[in-house]
Order: sequence, then structure tokens, then C-alpha cells
Amino acid sequence: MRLRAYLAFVLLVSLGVGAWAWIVEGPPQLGPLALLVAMGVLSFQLREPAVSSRFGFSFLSIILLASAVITGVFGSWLVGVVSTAVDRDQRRWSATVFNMSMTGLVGASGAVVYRLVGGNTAPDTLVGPAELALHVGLPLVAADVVGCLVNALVIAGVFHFDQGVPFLVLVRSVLAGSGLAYIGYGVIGFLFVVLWYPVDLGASSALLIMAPLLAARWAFIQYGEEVRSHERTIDTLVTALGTKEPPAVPRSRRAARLAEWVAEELGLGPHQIETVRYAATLHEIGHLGVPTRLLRRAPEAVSVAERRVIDRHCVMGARMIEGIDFLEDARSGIRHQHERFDGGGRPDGLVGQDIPVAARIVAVTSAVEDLLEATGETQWDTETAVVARALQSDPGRFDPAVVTAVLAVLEKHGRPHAASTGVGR
Amino acid sequence: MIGAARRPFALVLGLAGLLVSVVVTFVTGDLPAGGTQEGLGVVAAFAVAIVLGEWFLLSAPGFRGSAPMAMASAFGLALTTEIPEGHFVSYGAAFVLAVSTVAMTVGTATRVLAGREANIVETTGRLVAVAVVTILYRDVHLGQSPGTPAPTDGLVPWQQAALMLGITMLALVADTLFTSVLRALSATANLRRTFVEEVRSSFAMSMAVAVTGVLIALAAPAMGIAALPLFLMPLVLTLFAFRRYVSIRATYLQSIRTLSRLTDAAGYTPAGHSERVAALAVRVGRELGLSERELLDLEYAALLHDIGQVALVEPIPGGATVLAAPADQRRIEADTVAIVRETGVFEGVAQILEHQTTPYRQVRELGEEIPLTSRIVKVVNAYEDLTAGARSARAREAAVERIYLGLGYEYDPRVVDALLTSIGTGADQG
Repeated sequence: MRLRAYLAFVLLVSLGVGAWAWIVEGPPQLGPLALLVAMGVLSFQLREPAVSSRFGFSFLSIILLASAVITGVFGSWLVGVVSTAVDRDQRRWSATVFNMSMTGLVGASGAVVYRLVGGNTAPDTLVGPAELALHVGLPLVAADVVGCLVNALVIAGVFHFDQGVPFLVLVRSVLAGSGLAYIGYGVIGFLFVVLWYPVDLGASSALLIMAPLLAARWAFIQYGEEVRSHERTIDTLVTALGTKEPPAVPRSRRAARLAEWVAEELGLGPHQIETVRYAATLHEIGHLGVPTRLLRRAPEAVSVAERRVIDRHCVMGARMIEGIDFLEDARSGIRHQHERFDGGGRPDGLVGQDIPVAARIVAVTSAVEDLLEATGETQWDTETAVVARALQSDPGRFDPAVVTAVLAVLEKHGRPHAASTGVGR
Repeated sequence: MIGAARRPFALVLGLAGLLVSVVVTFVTGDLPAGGTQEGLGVVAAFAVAIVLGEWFLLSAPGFRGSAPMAMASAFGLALTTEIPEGHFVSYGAAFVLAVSTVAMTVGTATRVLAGREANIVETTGRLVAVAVVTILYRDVHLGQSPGTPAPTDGLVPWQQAALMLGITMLALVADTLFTSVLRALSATANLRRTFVEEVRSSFAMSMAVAVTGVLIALAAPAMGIAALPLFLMPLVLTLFAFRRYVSIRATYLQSIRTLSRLTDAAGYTPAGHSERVAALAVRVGRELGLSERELLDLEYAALLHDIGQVALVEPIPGGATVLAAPADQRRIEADTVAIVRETGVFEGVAQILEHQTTPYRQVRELGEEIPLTSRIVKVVNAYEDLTAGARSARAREAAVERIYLGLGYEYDPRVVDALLTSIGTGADQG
């Protein structure tokens, strides 16, 4: 409900800004507008789908920046709105409308800021680096930063209202994911404007600027590809585990979901959140080294000696994924998942904060996972009560801060589902 | 030692270019006229960018090395004739070439002195490209005489852009042709194939370099030398991204290694089985004349060929799939392929693995298409399973005998021949 209200609010603000710009500025020049809209549509179609777990990037931001100078406030708004109107991947019309409102807002806010800080709107006559920097360059930097912030805030709002993730964590994560790149690539927008006016290439500058744009796109894709290569590696390992032990796959997914929520709730940094998610997804990978007949036996029927063999899985798991650089940090989270907060656990008897945070979180989330599996689908309220009681029944086993966090996120999000934790919204 | 002969040739040619350009500059007096401070500053900035560009090379195994920053800067230097407030630079082609060659030499020499890799063939190739651009634009098109400002050509900006772009593209073709010829001379590859491969692997980057060089020159009258760092920015970004690109490939390689060790760690296969199969399969593949690309896929496929065994409740004794029932073999194969497909990037590898248990008979009798690489994995895996890592002559003979029993029925005789050649060399004769 609050999400709907938020979406409607964004839509209204965007429409209001568009109307205001039309009234103040009047109709923009059609030729350049059409060209920029075409480039905007193209760049949106060429965008990189979802680079990190949540956020996509396209060089639409660069086109919007150039429009801020070339077509004015209304023009930038329109370029933003039209560019995102055609969306092949998006099936829900509400998401498309939201994207249109948001990019319209980003475009218009950039153009307004550009004018507010004294940007020149017809820089034909400017000559020399100093003049260009002062009357075009710096105002564009301001417009770029503001555009980036507006983008981050509006997106963070959606996820805040949709999934209840703390707002500031989201803003940080958006900015860490694409903020620097967003601002850095803004330079190309400046170059576009320089080519258009002082160099006097006019519309043909659009053709030439494509080369730097595509180079930048390739560079940015590598960022996304890196994230994707990590997800694929994880998925492959989980599939390998699932080939041996099919129920382990949904279990890993749920564990990862829950662990990610907890990490966000604890206010960890983006890198640490990733590490926690990797560790949680792969926390049972060591089962690959446990004889299948032991894994299939009911917990009651396992002897003490056999239990020890099964529990060795965390050490084996950590050893198995040795040599994959990006999982280096997650390994300790897997190895130490059976440590006790009071120091009585395995394999190394670490105490308190010496236990890696990923391991402390995985310890709790896998326990919660077992409890939820055991209780089955009953009344959610009683389930959470059971979980709370079970977690608190053994003081000294878990990190109290993590327990508090896990109870808070269960309250907030409900039962974690096995939806893919990886790429995609 | 591929390329033992072409290196000195490229080195001599490069040094000759350096010498000639410097001498011609002084003989013709093609130097910036006294008192033109801006001109000197511009040249110095370009020179620094070229040196830096040569230092920050892009190179990785399996790639054509390039220096996008150096190339774009050198093109920019060659094409820039005007700077802000109507000033024209007063040096000509010889001076530009001298500056570029000196800067490239300095950059490359620093790299060599710092103990980093430098490829003299590629550096000389870049020199060729710069020479082509400089001479075509300044001497042929503008007809500039040494030591005087370049005359204007009277073209409107977009025509200028098109002309410059054409010249830089021509230069890049010359560069590629040069390196391909040298490569084809010394390696066994043929010229056309080398050229096509080089063009394909470097086309996108070359386009970006050519356009950047042109844009620097076009923007110079308005922005002055600031155009150089600003337009180089996107290329610098790609430089950083290239590192990332390399690390992505490393990640996939690491995950393959890890996956290949999973069955060892879980006790399904004897330690090092996949590695041994991979090493031998590559040797056999080489014997059969596979391309480098196919060999890479073959190596990965061999490393991963047993991963499907993780689904087994009870391990096969010794992990030897060759002893398992055909139906079990195919189930393991299907699981293996499913896991490899999950990576989403090793389609070629998955295709090899899809046929690793198919008997050769089906090629002969039913005309089924089975990749040669799959047949190699099948034979080599059988050999490794049967020897179980033993290296003695007796184990080898026993294994070969078993394989001979299935010759033409299970195994491709050509591959078995190649296997015999591969194991016949290397170890003691049996």
C-alpha cells in the first residue's frame, strides 16, 4: 500500500516538473530533441541488465546530461521519459511508468541545476579550455552529481517501501554500485556538448560520440560481468551440490536470502553483505564430501561418530572452494559456522567477535532454517515465537546481536522464500 | 621459440624509423618556430601521453597486445594543426614522427628496464600506423611544408572528421597487416587466417582508438590541449575495465579448477585424475592438430568430465567410469553436462561433454556427429581409468590392450593412434 502511494507520488512529481518546464520554457527545438530521444532509446535498449544484485546501468545518464544543455529542461525531461518507455524485459506496466517518471525527474533536475549554477545554454561562442570549463564543464558536474543523487534516492525509495530494507543502506548500496561510474561517465556528456557547439559538428557529433560511449559501455559491462561471473560460479557450485542432495538447493537459497536481510539489518557494508550472502549460499557445500547415506538418514538415527563426520563438512567446504579468489572472505564464514559465541564450538573454538561475522550470521540463519523446516507451514506468529524461544534457549551459542537482527527481519519480511538470490529483481 | 626471427627484424625497423625521423627533422629544419610557446606545450603533453600509453599496455594471454592510449595520442598529435585563438602549430610531419617515435621508444624502454613484458613487433606495428597517418594527412592531404603552419583545407567539420577517420582506419589496417605478416612469416599459420583473427580480436578497440585520435584533433581548436586528457578518459576507463575482464576470465578458470577437484575431495575419483586426463587429452589433441581454441575447450572439458559423479550414492570403485554400466555412464554424463551448463559460459565445453560416452560405432554406423574432442575425452579417460595413475610399462600395456579390444567399436582408431604416440614419447619406452 505504501509502495503504491510512493509510486503515485513519484509519478505526480515527475508530471508536475514536466508541466512546469513546458510552461516556463515553451516547446524545445524539434531536430536536436528527436536525435537525443533516439540516442536515449538506443542507450536504454543497450543497457546492462542489473549489474549488482539490484541495479541496472545504462549510458542514458550521459545522454540526459547532454540534453540538459542542448534541449533544455523540458527536453531533458522528455528524453528521460520517452527513452525508458519501450522496455522489452519489463512485463509490469507500473514498473515501466515508474522508470519513465524517474528518468524524467533525473533529466529535468540535471537541466535545472545546470541553469541554476550558471551553465551556458548556447556555448557556440565559447573558446578555450578555461571558458568551457567554467561555463559548461563545472555546471555539468553539478548537474551530474544531482542527477546521480536523485536517481539513487528515488530507487532506494522503491526498495525501502517494497522490501522494508533500511533507506540509508539502500542509498549507500546504490551509490557504491554505480554512483562513481555514473559521475565519471558524465565527462562524456561534456565532450558531447563540446563537439556539438564549439567544434561545430552539430548533429554529426552524435555519431562520433558513439565510439567513446561504446568504449565506456564495454568498460561498465565488465563490472556487471564480474558480478555475474561470481553469481554463475556460485550457482554452479550449488547445482553440483543439488545433483547430490536436491533439497540443499532451495535451502541454500533461503539461507542466503535470510542472511542477506540480517546483514543489511546489522548495517554491514556492501562488500561484507556480499561475503555473508556467498557464505550462506555455500554453507553446506561441504556436504559434497559427506557420504550420501549419512545425509539421507534422519537426524535421530545418526550416531555420535557419524555426526562428527557430518559436522566436518564445514571444514571440507571451506577447503573445497579454496583457490577461488572472490570467495576468499566467505571461506572463513563457512569454516566457522559451527563455532559457539561462548567459545565452546568447532573447529577452532573461537570466541565472540573473533568469529567472522559471516560465520556468526550463518550459524543463526541455518538454525532458523532448520526450525522453520521442522515446524512446517503453520501459523506464522507461532512459528516466529518458536524460533525466538529456540534461539534464546541456548545462551552462549549465538551472537545476541545477530539473534536480535534475525528476529527483527523475520518480523519485517516474513518467511524467506527460495527465490533466486542472485541477479534480477 | 616462435618469432625468434621476426623480433630482430621488427627491432631494426623500429630503430631505423626512429633514426630517420629524427634526422629528417633536423635536416629539413622542421621544428616549432622560436617563440611559439603553445606549440611546444602541446607537443610535450602529447609526448607524455604517448609515453604513459606505452607503459600501460593492454595485454593478456590469447590477446593481441595494444596500447590504446599511446595510439590515440599519437594520432591526435599527427592530426592536430590548430589550437585555440586561431593559432596554428608550426611543425610538420617529420617533427611529429620524431616526437612519436622517441616517446614510444622511451615508453617501451622503461617497460623493458622495469622488467615488464614488451612486444617489439607490436610496438613497431604501432609506429607504422602513426607514420601512415602523419604522412597521409600532413604531406599528402594538407601538403604542409616543413617548419611552417599547416594550410587549411577548407573542409567543414563533418567532412574533416570523415577524412581523418578514413586515414586513421587505413593506418590501423596497415598496423594489423604488418604484425600479421611478421607473425605469419615465423609461425606455421597462414597470413590470411592470422590477419582475419587479428582484425577480429582488435576491431572494437581499434575503432575506439581511431575515433578518439580524431576527436582530440577536432576539439583542439576549441579546447586546446585539454582535449587530450578529456577525450582519453573513456580509453583510460577501458584500461581499468580490461583488468577486470582478465580477472573475470581468471574467476571462470578458478571455478573450473575447483569443480574439477570436487570429485577428488569428495572421494569419488582418485586424486589428480581430472588433471591427468586434461594434460594427456591436450597432448593428444595437439597430436591431432586441433586449434588453440579447441584445445582450451578440450582442456576444460577434460577437467570437468567426471563432475557428474557427485550424484552417485555410492562411489564407483576407483572412480573409473569406464568400468561402470553404460546406463550409469550416461546418467553421470547428463549430470556433468547439466552442471557445466549452469555456468552459462562454457557451452563449447558442455557440447564436448555431451558425447563423451557415446561409442565410436555410432559415428561409423549411424553417421552421428560426435566432435573429435569428445572422442578424445572418451579415449583418454578410459586410458587413465584403466592405468589408475600407474606409470609403469606393464600398467600401460594392459590399458592399451583393453582399449584395443574396443577399437573401432567404442573408440576412434585415429584418436587411439594419437594417444599411443603421445604416451610413447614422454615416458620410458614400453
